[in-house]
Amino acid sequence: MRRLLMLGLALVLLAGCGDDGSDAGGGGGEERAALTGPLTYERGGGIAGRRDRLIVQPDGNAELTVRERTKSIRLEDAELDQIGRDLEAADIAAVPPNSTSKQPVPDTFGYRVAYDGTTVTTDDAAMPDKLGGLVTGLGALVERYE
Amino acid sequence: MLRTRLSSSAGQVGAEYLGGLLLVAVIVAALIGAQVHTTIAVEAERAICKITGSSGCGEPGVPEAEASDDDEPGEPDREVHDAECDNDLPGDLVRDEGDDPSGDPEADAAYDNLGQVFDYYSETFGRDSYDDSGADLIASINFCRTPGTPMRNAYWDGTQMVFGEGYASSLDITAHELTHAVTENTAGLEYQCQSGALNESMSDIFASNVDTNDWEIGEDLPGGAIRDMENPENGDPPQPAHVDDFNTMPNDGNPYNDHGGVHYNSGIPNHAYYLMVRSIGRDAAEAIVYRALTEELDENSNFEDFRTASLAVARRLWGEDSPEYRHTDASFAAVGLDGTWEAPEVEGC
Repeated sequence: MRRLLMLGLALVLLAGCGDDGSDAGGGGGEERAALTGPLTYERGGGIAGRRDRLIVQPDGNAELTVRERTKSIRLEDAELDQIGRDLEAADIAAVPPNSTSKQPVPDTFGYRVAYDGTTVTTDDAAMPDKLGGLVTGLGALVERYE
Repeated sequence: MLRTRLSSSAGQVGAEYLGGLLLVAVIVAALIGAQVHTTIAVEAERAICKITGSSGCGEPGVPEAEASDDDEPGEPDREVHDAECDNDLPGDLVRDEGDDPSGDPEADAAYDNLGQVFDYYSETFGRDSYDDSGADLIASINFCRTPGTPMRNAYWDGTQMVFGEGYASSLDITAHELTHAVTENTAGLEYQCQSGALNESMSDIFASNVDTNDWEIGEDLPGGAIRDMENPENGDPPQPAHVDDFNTMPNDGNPYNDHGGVHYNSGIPNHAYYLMVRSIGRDAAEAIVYRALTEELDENSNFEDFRTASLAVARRLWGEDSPEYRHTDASFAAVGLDGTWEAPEVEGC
C-alpha cells in the first residue's frame, strides 16, 4: 500500500514538470517567437491566377490585398504566434533565395516571403520542405480573411 | 617445330580475328540497314499522315513517351492515386485501369473525368493520350502541399495531374490540366507573357469543348467558377476580353505577377474562341484551334500568331471564301486582333 502511495506521488510530481514554457502548442504566458519587423507574403498563380499579398506587422495589424482590393485586418494572437514559429522553422536566411522550377510549371502557385532583409521565392513544384509550413500557413490566413 | 607451331598458331589466331571482324561487319551492316529502313518507313508514314490531314503525325528525332504494356490505341490507361493530404506523389493507387469503382466518390470521379477527356481527344482528333502515343494518365487526388492542410488548386507537373481536395471531380478542370500536357507535347507554348496566356487559353478552350454545358471554367470547384469565356470580365479574377485592356503586369520573377499575367490575358483568345463557336459552330472551331496548336504554333507564338495560324487552318480546310474563314477572321477582329495589333511593352516579355 505504501509503495502504491509513493508511486502515485511520484507520478503527480512528474506530471507537474511537463510545462517549461516552451510548448509550441499555445497557452497563455509562454515565450513567443515574435516578429521583430514587418513580414510580406505574396502568392500568385494557381489555376485561378490569384494575386494575394499579406503584410503583417509585429503588433498583429495586417494589410491584405486580394483581387486588387486592399483591406486592413487584425490577426489573433495565436495566429501571430504561429507565424513566428513557422518563420523560425523555415529559417529563411538559410534557404536559397530563389528555389523555383527551372521552367514555370502550369497552374502551380508561386510564393515570395520577405522578412528582416531576406527574401525567398519558391513554387509548389520546387519548394524546400522547410518553407512548406510558413507559406501554407500564410496562405490559409489569406483564405480566412479574404 | 616450335616455329611452325607458332606460325600455325598465329595463322589460326589471324583467321579467327578476320572471322570476328567479318561477323562484326555483318552485324553492323544489318543494324544500319534496319535503321535506314526504319527511318524510311517512319518518314513515309509521317508523309502519308500529313497528306491525309491527320493530326499528331509525330516529329523526327522526338522520342515518344513510353506507353504501358497493356495499352491499346484509343483506350485510356488511367491510374488514380490518393495522396491522403500528404505531399508524397503519387500516393496510394486507389483505382487502376479496368478496376471496379473504388467507392471513393472523388477517386471515381477523377477516373471517369480522365476517361472523358481521353475520349474527347481520341474521338475528335484521333489523338492517343496527351502525347499521341498512349501515355498513361496519372492523377493524384487529395494532395496537400503541407501535410494536413488541403490545397485549393490543381496542376499538371510535367508527368501527372495533381489535384487538391474537391478539384478532381470537376470535369473542365481535369480537361484544363490534361490540355496543358497536350500543349507541352505539341506547340510547347512557353509559360510566360503572351505565349503563356495562349497556353492557358488552350487549356480553357479544350476544357470548354469537353464540358459544353456552359462557358464557365471551374463552376464545380469548391469556390465556384474562376473564368467565363463568354464574359471574361466576370471571371475571378476578372479578365480582359479585348486587346485594348491587355494586362501589362511584368514577367519579373515575382510570382505575384503570374509570369506576365498568363491567367489574365488568356481572356482575350478565350473570348475570340467563344465568338468562333457562336459563328461557325464548335466542330469547325475546335478543328481549327486543334490544328493551330498541333501544326502551326510554336513555343514563342503570340496572340497575332494564333490568329494567323487559325486563318491558315481555316483557309486550308475550307478556303478563303468560306464562312469558316470569314467568321474566324471576324472573331479575332472583335477582340482587337486584326493582323496589325502590337502589344504594349511589358517588362520581361
